[in-house]
Amino acid sequence: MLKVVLPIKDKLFRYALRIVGNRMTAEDVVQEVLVKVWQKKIELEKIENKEAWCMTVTRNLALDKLRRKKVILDDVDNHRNISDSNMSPYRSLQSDDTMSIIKDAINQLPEAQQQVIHLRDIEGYSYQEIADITGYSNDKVKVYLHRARITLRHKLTSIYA
Amino acid sequence: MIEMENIKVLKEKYWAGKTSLAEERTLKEYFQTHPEVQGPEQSLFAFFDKESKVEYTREVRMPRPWLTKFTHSILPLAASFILLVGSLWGLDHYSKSSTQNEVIVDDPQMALQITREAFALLNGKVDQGGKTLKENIIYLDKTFIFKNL
Repeated sequence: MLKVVLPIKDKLFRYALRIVGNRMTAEDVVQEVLVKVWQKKIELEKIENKEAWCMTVTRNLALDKLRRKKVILDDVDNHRNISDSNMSPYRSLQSDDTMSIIKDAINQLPEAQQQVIHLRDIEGYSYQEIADITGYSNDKVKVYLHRARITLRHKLTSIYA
Repeated sequence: MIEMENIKVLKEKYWAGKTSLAEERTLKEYFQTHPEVQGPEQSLFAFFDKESKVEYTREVRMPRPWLTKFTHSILPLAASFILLVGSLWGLDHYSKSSTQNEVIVDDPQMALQITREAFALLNGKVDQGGKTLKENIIYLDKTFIFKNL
């Protein structure tokens, strides 16, 4: 089971964090996913795309947590595990203000668009994989991604104008 | 020059949501290797790169198969054993304490006297209880009267 979960634990965590917006709750979600994986280990052997299945479980548990209690949204930047000294020159050139604006812009997107842009642009999943994870149709995934990018482009262009 | 043109086309495709994963990777690599290029795409790809490095730091704990199997098989046995030992100890303790309190009186007069004392004690307790009950009823009546004033 560890072979399935360990390589994707960070992905699961980031996805949960995107949905719940709180590190502690996101960690709880991942822990619950691990337990679920353990409980369903026999069924999981028959599942072809185990990663997508784990991501779907993460999504459902995170959404469930979000509905059940109002989690305190904290600053995601405070919980990064990369120190400034590890930053590449490429990243260090980016101002914190711009990063903050992008983060806010993504956080203000509708939930479905947030999830789709996260899965595509941060995790690098294909449209089909995103459809499998979220349960949206392939066309819907494309529409959400397009809308999210239009909104982000609009907001970012106004900064650079 | 060709690269610049290519990137320009890819950027437009990206915003339109029409890029493939490979094309998006090309864009990502381009912006990573060209930090001098400024623009919304540069910032956005830098943000995505930063986000993709967020890690799960809590210890990964999975139930151990042998431990789970062992606990599942041993738990009912352990519970039965504790129940059995507890019952035997309780039975033994009860029988010992009940024999310790027993007093054998041979003299019938003495036995009658003890019985009378026991009844008198019981009677006193009953009377005391009755008095307390009466007092409580009076108190309740008073409360009821004051409440309805």
